[in-house]
Amino acid sequence: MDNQSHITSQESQRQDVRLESLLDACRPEEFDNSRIKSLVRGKLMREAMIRQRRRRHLITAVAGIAACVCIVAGVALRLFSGGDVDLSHATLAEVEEAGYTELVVAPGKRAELTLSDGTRLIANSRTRVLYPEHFDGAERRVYANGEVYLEVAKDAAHPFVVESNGFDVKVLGTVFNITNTSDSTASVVLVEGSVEVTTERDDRVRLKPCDMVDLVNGEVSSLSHVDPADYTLWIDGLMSLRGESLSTLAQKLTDHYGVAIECAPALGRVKVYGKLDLHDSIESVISSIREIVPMEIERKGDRIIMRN
Amino acid sequence: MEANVIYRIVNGDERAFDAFMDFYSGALYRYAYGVVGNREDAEEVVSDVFVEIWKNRKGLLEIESMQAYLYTITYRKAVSMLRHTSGRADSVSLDGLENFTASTLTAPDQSLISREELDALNSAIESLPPKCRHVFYLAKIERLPYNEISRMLDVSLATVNYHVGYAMNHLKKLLGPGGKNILSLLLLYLATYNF
Repeated sequence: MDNQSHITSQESQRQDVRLESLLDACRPEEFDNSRIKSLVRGKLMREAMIRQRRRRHLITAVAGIAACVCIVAGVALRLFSGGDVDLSHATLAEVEEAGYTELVVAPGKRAELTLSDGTRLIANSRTRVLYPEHFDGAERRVYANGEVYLEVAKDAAHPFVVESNGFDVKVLGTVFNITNTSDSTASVVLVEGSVEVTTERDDRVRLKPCDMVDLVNGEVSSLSHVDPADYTLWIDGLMSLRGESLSTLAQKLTDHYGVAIECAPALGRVKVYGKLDLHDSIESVISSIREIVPMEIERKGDRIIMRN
Repeated sequence: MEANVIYRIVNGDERAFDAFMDFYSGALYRYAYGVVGNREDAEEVVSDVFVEIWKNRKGLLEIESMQAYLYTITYRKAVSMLRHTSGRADSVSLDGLENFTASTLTAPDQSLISREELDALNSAIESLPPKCRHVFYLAKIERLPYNEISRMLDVSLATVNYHVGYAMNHLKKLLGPGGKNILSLLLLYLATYNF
C-alpha cells in the first residue's frame, strides 16, 4: 500500500516534469504586428497634429505685437517639486534638456532678470521661474509659478509664452502680471499690450489692458476690469490692501515671508485698506497693521498669532 | 529587452521604439486577445498601450519590471475595453472576467510533437475554468513570475498558486495515462530530441 502510493507520487512527479517540458516546447502562434504598429503611428501622428494645430492657431493670433503682464500661479508648485510621473513631468524633463535655468526666489525677497531677448522679468517672493539662457526655436517660452511681472520685448516672429501649470499666457503685446499662489487658483492682469490666456481645458481669453482673468482648477472663472497698479505694487516692494479680510492678509504675509501668521477668527473678518511696505521685516509690517487694527501679538515658536 | 533600447526610447529614438514594439507586441496582443476575445479590440488595446508608453517615455527608466508594467496596463485597458463594448461596469478584478481565450499553442517542426498531441493539449487548456485558464496562461505559457501575476490581477499569491496547481492537475488527468496518455510518449520524444 505504502509502496503503491510512493510509486504513484513518483509517477505523478514524472508527469509534472513531462507536462512542463511539453509546455516549454510549445509556443503560442506567431502573429503579424504590422497592424498594431500602424495603429500606434496613426494615433501618435493625430495627437501631434492636434498639438501643432493649436500652436499654429495661437501664432496666427499673435502675429505682429508685443505685453506687460502679471501672472500669479500656484498649481505649478507641485509640478516643479516633481514626483508625479505624468505629462507635465515629461515637460519638465524636456525643459531641463533644453538648457533651462531654474530661479527660486527666497521668502520675503524679489528677483529681477533680463532674459536673452531683452524681456524684463521680476519674480516675487517664493516664486519659481524656468528660463533658457538663450531663446531658440519658434517661440520664446518660460515657465513660472508664483508671481511674476513681465515686460516682454517685441519680437513678432517669436511669440512669447509663459507657461504655468494649467494654463499658458501667450503674449501678443507687452506688460503683465501673473499670480498663482494657492493650489488651484491663478490670475493674470494685463498692464499694456495684448495677451491670450489658454487653459489646459482649452478655455481661451484675450485680455485688453486693465483686464484681470481669474482661473480656478484650469478653467476661467471670471474676467474683470481692475487698476493694474494695485497688482504690480509688489514690484516696488509694496502690498496694496483693497478691503481684504485680515485673515486673507495673514495668508498673503505667510506666503510672502514664509512665516506662519495666524489670525484669531473674530479678528479675521476685519477689513483692511492701505499699503504695506514689504521691504520691512515681518515684525515691522505687523506693527504697521497694529496701527490700523488694534490687537495683541503672540509668538508661539515659529508662528505669529494675531488676537484681539 | 536590453536597457540600452529603453535609454534610446527615453531619448526619443523611434527605431528603438519600433524594436520595443516588435519585442513585446506578440505577448501583449495574445494577452489582450485573451481578455477581449476579438482581433480588432485586441489590436486597439495594444496600440493604446504603446501610445501611452511613447507619450510617457521620459519615465520609462523608473519602471522596475517592464514586462509586469506592460502586462498590467494591457490588462487594465483590455478590461475597460470589455466594459465599454459590453456596456457593463464591473470592478476591475479577476472576478469581473467571465472568459479568457488562451491563444492556440503550436510546436516547432523539429520538436516531434504531433498534431494530435497539440490538439489534445490545446483542448485540455480550453477545458479549464476561465479564471484558472487566465492565471495558468500567464504563469505557464507566458511564464510571468507568480508575484507579478498576483499584483497585476490583484489576487493573493495563494490564489495564483491554487489556480496553477489546479490547472496542472487537470491537464495531467486529461493528458496522462487515464486520459489521452500523451505524457509518457512525450518523454520518449524529448529523450530522442535531446540526443
